[in-house]
Amino acid sequence: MASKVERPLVGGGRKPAPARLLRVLKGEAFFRGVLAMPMQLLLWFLLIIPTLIVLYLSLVAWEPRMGTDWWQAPFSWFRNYGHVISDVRFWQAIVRTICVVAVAVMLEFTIGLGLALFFQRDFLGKRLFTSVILYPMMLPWVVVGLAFYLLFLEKGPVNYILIHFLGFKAGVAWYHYPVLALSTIILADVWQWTPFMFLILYSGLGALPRDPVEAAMTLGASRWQIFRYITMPMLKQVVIIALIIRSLEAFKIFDLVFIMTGGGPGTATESISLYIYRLGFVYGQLSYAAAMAVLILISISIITRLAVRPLEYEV
Amino acid sequence: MNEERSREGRSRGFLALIGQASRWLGALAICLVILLPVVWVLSISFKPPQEWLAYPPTIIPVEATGSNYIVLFQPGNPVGGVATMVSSAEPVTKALINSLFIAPIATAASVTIGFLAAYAVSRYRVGGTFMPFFTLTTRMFPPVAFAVPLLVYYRLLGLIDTRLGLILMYTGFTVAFSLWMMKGFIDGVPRHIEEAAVLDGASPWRVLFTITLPLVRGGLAATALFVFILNWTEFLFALVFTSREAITIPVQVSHYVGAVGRFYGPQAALGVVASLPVVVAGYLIQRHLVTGFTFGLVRE
Amino acid sequence: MGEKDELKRAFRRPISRRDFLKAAGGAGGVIVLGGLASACAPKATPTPAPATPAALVEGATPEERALNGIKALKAAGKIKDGDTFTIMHHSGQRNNIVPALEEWNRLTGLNFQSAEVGLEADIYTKAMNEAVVRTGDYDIFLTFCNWIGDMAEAGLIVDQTDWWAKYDPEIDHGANAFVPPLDKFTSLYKGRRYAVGADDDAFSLFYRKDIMEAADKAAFEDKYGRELALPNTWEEFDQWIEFFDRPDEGIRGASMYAERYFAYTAWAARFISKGGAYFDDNMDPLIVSEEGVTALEEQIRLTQNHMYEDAVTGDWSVAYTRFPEGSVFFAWAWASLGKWAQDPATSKIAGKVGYMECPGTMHDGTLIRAVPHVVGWSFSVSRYGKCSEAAYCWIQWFTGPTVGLDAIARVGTLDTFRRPWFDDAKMKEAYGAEFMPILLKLTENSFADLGLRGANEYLDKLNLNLQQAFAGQKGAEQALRDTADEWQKITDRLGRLGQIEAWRTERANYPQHIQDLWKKLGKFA
Repeated sequence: MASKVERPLVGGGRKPAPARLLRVLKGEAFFRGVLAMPMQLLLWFLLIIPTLIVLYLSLVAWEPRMGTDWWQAPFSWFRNYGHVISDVRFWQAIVRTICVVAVAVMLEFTIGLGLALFFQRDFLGKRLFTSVILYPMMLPWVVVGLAFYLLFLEKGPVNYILIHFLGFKAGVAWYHYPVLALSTIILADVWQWTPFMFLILYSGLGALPRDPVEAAMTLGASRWQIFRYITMPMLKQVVIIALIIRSLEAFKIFDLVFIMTGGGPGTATESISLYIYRLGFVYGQLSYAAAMAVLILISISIITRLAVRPLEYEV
Repeated sequence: MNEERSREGRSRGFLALIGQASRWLGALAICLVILLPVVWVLSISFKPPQEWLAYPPTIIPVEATGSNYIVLFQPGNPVGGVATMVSSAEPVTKALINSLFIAPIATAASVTIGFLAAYAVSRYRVGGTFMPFFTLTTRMFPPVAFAVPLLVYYRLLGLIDTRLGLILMYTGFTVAFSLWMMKGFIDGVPRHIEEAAVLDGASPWRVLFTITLPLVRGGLAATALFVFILNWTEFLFALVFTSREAITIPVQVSHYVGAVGRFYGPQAALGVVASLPVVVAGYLIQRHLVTGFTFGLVRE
Repeated sequence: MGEKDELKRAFRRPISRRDFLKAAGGAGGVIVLGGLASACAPKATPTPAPATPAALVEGATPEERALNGIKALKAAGKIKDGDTFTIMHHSGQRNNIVPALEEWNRLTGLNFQSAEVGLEADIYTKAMNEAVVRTGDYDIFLTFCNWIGDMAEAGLIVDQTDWWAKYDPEIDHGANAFVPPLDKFTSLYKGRRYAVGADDDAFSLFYRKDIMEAADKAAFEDKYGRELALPNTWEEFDQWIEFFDRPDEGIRGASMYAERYFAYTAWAARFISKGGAYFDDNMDPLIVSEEGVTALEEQIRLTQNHMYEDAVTGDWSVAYTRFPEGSVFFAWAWASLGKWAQDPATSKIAGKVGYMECPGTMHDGTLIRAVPHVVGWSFSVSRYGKCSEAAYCWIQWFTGPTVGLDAIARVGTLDTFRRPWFDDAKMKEAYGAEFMPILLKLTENSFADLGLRGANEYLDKLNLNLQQAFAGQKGAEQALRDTADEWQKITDRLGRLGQIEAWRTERANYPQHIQDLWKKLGKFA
């Protein structure tokens, strides 16, 4: 629900005179209306029809290979949704993906925060180091996936290091065991996206006013206390948004899984996006995939809605 | 007292130096760890085919070759000099040009639209809580499920395999990202600064562009970088919606396969080449990253 | 103040609701329009075949007839100079196709161009997308031959049977014919021709001749009670691999696929040679039988004991690395592995490669071999292209006895498929003179991937379970049982009657000796 709090107008006490177009254009009402217009227009234009098609598809039983056009497909109403809920592979993929997201995002956040704090002070060549830290994000995911895939091959560099420098007797079959395979995927994801967290937290930290911090320091607070009671609360907005955005993205993890394990062995590392991809593009079950996507959308919406709550009441 | 102070000062200065040095070393260590996979990619990009999967693996190629890079721009040039491996019929220039055209425009559009909307949401609660949240759903939906319906829609519009089509799509799908990131940064700017400007007689537009915008420059830069990366490396939609004309770099990377599997060398080489524009962008924005209230804007 | 309040309220909350209603209304209108527009677009229903088959076009060779066909089409005004046709193919074939395009364009004045796709799975995606949106961007598809069921049923590709009669590509008869049964399973679906094969992907078997020659023959005889020789049955094969598996020397026994996309190949080879078949004539799976379970158990044992782990979790290029670098004794893959392994520039074992026929199973004194033919690219014509007949003419020209020979001799993923080419000097040089006769025999014994409608799904579910079995996550029988359950669900969903019809025609594409074996074992009436 929209907040009904009446706040003092920022526009002072000026009234736009309808006759003077320029006044209107500079006026606050127009300003407010026009600000969000481009985004609204773009989204409605781009998304409304495909969304309706997706909803429609989820209510019919249609596959391209049936030879009928999609608008001629027979309605099966909520049968697709029922199938999704009773699909074991679906639930396994969801749980698996949630675990991967949880671990990966937590790692990314912790490491990113540590790096951001570490980089607050100036030191020689900081710009260069920052560029290096940001680099993993900038490689196309195909290449990141390939690099990690090659690194963890049974006869790859990681196993080589393990055998020759760390005294392992034989290489570890990384992709053979679900937990290990998931770990390599998580590692690749953390490697690629920690710079994201780092950058957000770094610019967030940099935008914080210094006065409270300096005040606290003169009052004799320790670094940890300053961090915990002053920095973090001020950073809360940015942190929550960063976590939400990164989690949403991580939940859709597809590229790394596809390149590194193909979801294997079997379905041991299949993320939910990969399952939907298989359903839609390999099995050709586009309506089933649509129903699954809608269900996921609804569930994530609810969860995100709850997560976003703390942000609403901030000034 | 003064002596004490100065002795303290000197030891504090010395400590500060140690702090600087250890900080520098720490950063170096971190960077080395991060760089390992990057080094591997670079290494592969200079290796001939028989070394791509060789064991024991070597960081320095035994027979370093630049042909993986050459083949990107001059296909028909056997990879690694090996006659049995012939690479892509198209040079990467088309993909590079397309990506360089599509990604920056889509990014600029997305960030601008998102910034304006973020201001509206942050300051005026435009759309209440429904609208900004609704935009977030574009990031929640697995893109795969959206591909075919969107394809049908694009067919109606005649935008398949066009650059405009991709720009529109990338802008639309990243604008939620821009909105939410910018909202966070704008929320962090205290209102009283803006109100002070208004009391001085500035129009809302003036306030937006001359007061708020400079203060959130860092956030804007970070957002622009992320959106640029998202657009630059996006693969699925680029694959589904292009065939010959509007191919982008990620799709081009996927073309480097042949009779014996993936050509890791050219793929790595293209990955390195493709990351350069992003690196440049990243370096440039660093200037804007640290903003703050040390600019004397606020007069207490 | 009141005015401003009103404006404030007007702009604040109701934006979302009002916008929504407006947009919904607008969207509804657009949907109706869109539906009308699409209704005017080409339909998916197959066009009826021409009433009278046309007389045979003039020309001494398939290529000539194709060119004459183009001339006739131009004269009839169906196409004109400079018309653009697009061929969608995999990146691996660019070297086969693109040089030929230049010549064709020169000969005909048309503009044929290529649109390549990197990942094989993406070809299927784009083809099926084309079936939905019908952009007309593609005229010809070069796809796995077992996808033509899906593409035909989706209304994407055109029935070519009458064109085969009109232009005679000399595929299933004559001196230039394809090696049977290659001509059948690369082109037929439900008894009609929907594609022209352009590839021979019968799996080929390679081993280290030098290691075998240097082996301790006495030790082998002691252990297995027979002379050391190339294995003829799968049982002999397992023993042979076991003997040559030397982890301490850094050489494992075999490299056979057990991974996510090709795990079925080794199992299918054993299963079919034991007399198995995928389905019975009611489309009930026959894989959870003694033949199926034993086949899988044997292969699991081999995989887990005598192969590198990346046979299970690697990708298809694993064989192309392990064998030429000398770290496995035996490998099987597509014929291109032979080329790769014999080239000193890419292989450490050049000159040491031996070729062999595929092992089989003894049935009352007869050895029945079954070689998996995996993938196999074939050309099909899009219904929504510019001129389907012209597209077909190009296909016939490109796969013709002369043009095709040049195209295949160039290095690419397409391999030789016409009978006379196996004796050709150029081919022998490219593949190795010893290899060609063996490849011929392998092809004659080959059977295709499952090619029904929904083939991708059937195969993916099979691979999924097989890979789990190879990785030790499931037992053999459980894996096959799970697969069979999934297969039944797919069949029911797609319509059992239609699948039965497709399967009946498909099993007629298997090599004759396998069909005879089935008859002998009492499968199928």
